Amino acid sequence: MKKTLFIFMITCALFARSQEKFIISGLVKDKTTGEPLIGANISVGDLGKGTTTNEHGFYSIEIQNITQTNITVSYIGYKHYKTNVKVGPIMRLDIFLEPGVEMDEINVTASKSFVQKDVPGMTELSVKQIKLIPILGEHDLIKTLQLLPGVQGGSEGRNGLYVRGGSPDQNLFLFDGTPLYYVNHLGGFVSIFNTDVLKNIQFYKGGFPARFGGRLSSIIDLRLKDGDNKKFCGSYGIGLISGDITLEGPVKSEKTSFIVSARRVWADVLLRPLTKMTFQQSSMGYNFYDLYGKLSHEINPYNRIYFSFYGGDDHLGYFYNVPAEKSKSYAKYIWGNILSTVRWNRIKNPKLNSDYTLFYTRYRYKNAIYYKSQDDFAQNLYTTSVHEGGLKTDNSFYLSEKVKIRFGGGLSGNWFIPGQISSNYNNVVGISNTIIGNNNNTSALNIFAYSEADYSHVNWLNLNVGVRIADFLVEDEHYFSVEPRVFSNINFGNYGFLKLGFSQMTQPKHMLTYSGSSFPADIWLPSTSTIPPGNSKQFSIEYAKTLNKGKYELVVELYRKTMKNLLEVKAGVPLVHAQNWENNVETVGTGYSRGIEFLFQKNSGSTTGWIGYSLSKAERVFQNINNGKSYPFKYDRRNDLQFVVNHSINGNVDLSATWVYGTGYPITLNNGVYEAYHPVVENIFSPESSFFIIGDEQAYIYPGKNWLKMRNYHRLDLGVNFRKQRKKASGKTSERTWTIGVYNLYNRQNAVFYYYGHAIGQKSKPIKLYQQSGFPILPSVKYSVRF
Amino acid sequence: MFEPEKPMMVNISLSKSPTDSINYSVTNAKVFVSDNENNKSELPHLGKGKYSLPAFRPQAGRIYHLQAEIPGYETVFASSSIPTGNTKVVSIESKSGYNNAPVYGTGDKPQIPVENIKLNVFDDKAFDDFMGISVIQKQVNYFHKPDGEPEITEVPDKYILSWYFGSTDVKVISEGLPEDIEKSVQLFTDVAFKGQNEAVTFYVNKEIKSAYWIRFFKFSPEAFSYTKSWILHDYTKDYDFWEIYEPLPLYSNITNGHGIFAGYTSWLYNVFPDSVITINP
Repeated sequence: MKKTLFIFMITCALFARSQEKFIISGLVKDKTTGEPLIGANISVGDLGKGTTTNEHGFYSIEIQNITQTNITVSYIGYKHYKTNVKVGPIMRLDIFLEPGVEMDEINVTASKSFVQKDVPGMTELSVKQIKLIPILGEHDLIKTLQLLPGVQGGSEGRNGLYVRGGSPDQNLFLFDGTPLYYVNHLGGFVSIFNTDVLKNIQFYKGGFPARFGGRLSSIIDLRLKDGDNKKFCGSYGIGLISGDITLEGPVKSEKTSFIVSARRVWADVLLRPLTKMTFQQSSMGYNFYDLYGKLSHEINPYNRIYFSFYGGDDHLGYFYNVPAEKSKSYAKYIWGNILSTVRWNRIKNPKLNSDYTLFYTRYRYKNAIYYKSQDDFAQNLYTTSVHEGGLKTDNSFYLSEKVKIRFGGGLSGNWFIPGQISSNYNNVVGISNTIIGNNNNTSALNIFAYSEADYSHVNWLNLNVGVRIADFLVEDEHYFSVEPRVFSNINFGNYGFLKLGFSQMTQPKHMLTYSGSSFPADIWLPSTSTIPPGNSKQFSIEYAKTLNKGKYELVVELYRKTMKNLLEVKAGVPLVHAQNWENNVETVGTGYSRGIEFLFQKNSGSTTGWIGYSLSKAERVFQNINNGKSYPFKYDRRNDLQFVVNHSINGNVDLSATWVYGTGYPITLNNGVYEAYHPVVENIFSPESSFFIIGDEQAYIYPGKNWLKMRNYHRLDLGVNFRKQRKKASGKTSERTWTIGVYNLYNRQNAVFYYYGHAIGQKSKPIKLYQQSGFPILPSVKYSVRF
Repeated sequence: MFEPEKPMMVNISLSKSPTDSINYSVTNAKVFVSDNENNKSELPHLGKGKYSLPAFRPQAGRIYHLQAEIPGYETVFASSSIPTGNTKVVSIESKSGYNNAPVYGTGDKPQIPVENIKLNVFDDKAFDDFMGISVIQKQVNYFHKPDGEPEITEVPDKYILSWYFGSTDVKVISEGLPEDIEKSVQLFTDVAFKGQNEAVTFYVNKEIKSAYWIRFFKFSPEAFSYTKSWILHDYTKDYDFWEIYEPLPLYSNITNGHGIFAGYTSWLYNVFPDSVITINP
């Protein structure tokens, strides 16, 4: 509590220093589309004053004793904007930037400067950058994030996101400010994000501003495009596994715009007929789809409203049809999200930009089994889901030329259905309707408030002090948390920047994965009266320097993270029927993670890219795992190296090459066996026979959990985009792009796991250690058109 | 694993590399067993690494110690007991019915004939009891008549342990053993028992309404941990494609080695469908 008071006192002191001065404020937008630009730099004359636009494109800058000045605005990928303005006491200045590059910035880059960011461990990715790197035939946000130091992707080809030793549920994906609970398709091989609808991607792994909370390891703040409010345009693409289409345009003059996008995988179009031809009475199919939409409306220059929507599902189905018996049956697995957000953004006064959000988000997994014949009918439905709906407000207050305050708060209701089965049948046995597991449903209330004070002193210091206060109410238990966040950016001029950060985070929701006998399901569960929320503390120090007039950047970051109250599912334990799921998890685990990360980036020129390296160690300690001893985290990778190179030829051809190298992941492999007593397996001589026998089965000896490192991992991917512009008779232009990629070019056999066994079909041959390898060389191609 | 009144059999072998196909029985060990009433015996080698003395028969309620000296290796030690106390089964109810638990899979009729078992247990509060049951039934054969109707018959003098049996009783579920795993023993303790007599329920797939057997176990804590851990170890020792669970080691109570030295006791009951049997006090 003392910490909170201290931080509030600092905030109040900063308020007290405010004085009345001239204010210039407004929005910075794309001139051709009307899209607000996030993070544009605005500087005033020779005063050395500057600010950046917030996530709504708003800025406010205060100047003193001056009536006329130059305003300069710069933004990556746009021409510089300069104007001379007469300054009034309160002045609204909306600025429209023209896409393009300055003459001295040949082929500007796709990526944004790390040095400019005040938050240690924060990365801003551009959509253009993601589009330069096709991986497994898709431009995938999560696979691009995996190429940053400190981020692991888990098993070969999958879209895991293990940030600095954290697990996937410790990442908060915010979609226009609303949390998404599930971010993958195809068993984790493709992410749900269609890059065509994204405007801005901010990834936090070190310092976390107080406006973010609820997860321990990372924040991925994604902002959707508002849609072009000047002209109708769009794009479509056809790849090997999926196709997508995006349309955007004005609805009513320049006040209202929309963007809609749909993507669908068409594996089922081929798979179902193919399996039906092969198996005749049965078939299987799989597909997924994503649907995005956003409607933006400017009520007046001070008020805008937005409606954002996302819906996406995976469908996996097995179908049986036996005409002779007049019976048919199926098993279907469906999982995915729905999210919708209504947002009102208001420029209350030249200093205050407020955002009010009403949101609903839901993740659910369903497994339906159905059987019908002439006489019988039976149906089982398994459902698990998490629902969250709430209200929140975020406010940016430009207090003075030196101080910017962000504050806000909100509340949300959370409903958890950990696993419910409804079963009904109607047959010769009788009629039955059963529901199991509905007693496990839990609800919780989450209330939070935050305040951040961002203080800039001349050009050498930027300090952000904040606190987040949250209360998670579940099962009559209040989990109250106070999370201080502090980070600073000290400018040493030619010697570079030094950034320091401390963040404390709390996570009251956990994702556990259940396998059972079928397709795995992710189950979200709240902390309960017996399971407290997880929490983490992270310290980080970052040194950043630009070289050669900003062409290159060097970033070195040290971090140390401690996570407490972690959960782990007990091996193989089902959570479906469990009346008290708390019994099925190991609790009160601790995670330790520390490391050093290097990033050397080339930002501009025809060749761009980066080299990333991290040296890290991540461990876990659970009382009931590994005899209570510390063991390596499943995706602990001591050395991790990434080379990402993009080269542009005449602006029409982009070449990309990605080479990754990492120490092998740790696994638990037996290094010995012994004869063991065990419960008798099958046939017995008589009811009186011994229950325990010896001789048939061997027990495995594990020296420890995750004790063995697999072979080192490395892989080279290549990609090329061929673009061609075409001008139609109407004067409109369209751009066609062929994207060709090769995954794992030199066909490296990377290990996924090891096992002992006989060669297939050769039981008489000696037992050997085998390696199960990941993806071999995989080519991909995609054709897309932007019009 | 040892039971009352049955000669204790100690099996000693060297652990080996997973790629080694030869078993390394230890034939030259000196094996001693003793109890808490100062009875001590050396178990002679009977062959193939097995050591036993017919005269040395463990008794319920005693604590036993094992010491094995193996040339070239550290001496191994272990201790366990055979549980005692008055906790026992007082009656068994068996009722024929159908399994109405959700069945994963398609094409099959979900209604499977089962025997619903209710085990009434008298709990001796002076002891912490670790219990389990297994079900033994006659093996069955499946035939298809010319009209396509299936015919199921029992095979005389051939028995199987039922693997398709489970429980929805919280006293069993709370042990946290995966329901999806087919296992030949269901485990429970008296932690959740609220009274002197407590009912524990199970169901077992039984396609023919005929007599079957229930074995009721009382385990030492070591035997209970070992049996439970064997089920998990066996289930998790191979790679899980979805990478959800990881291998779990097998419980061992052997100092300077791996293995189990643990006592248990069991009772066998012959049960008939749709009947109640009362166990004589």
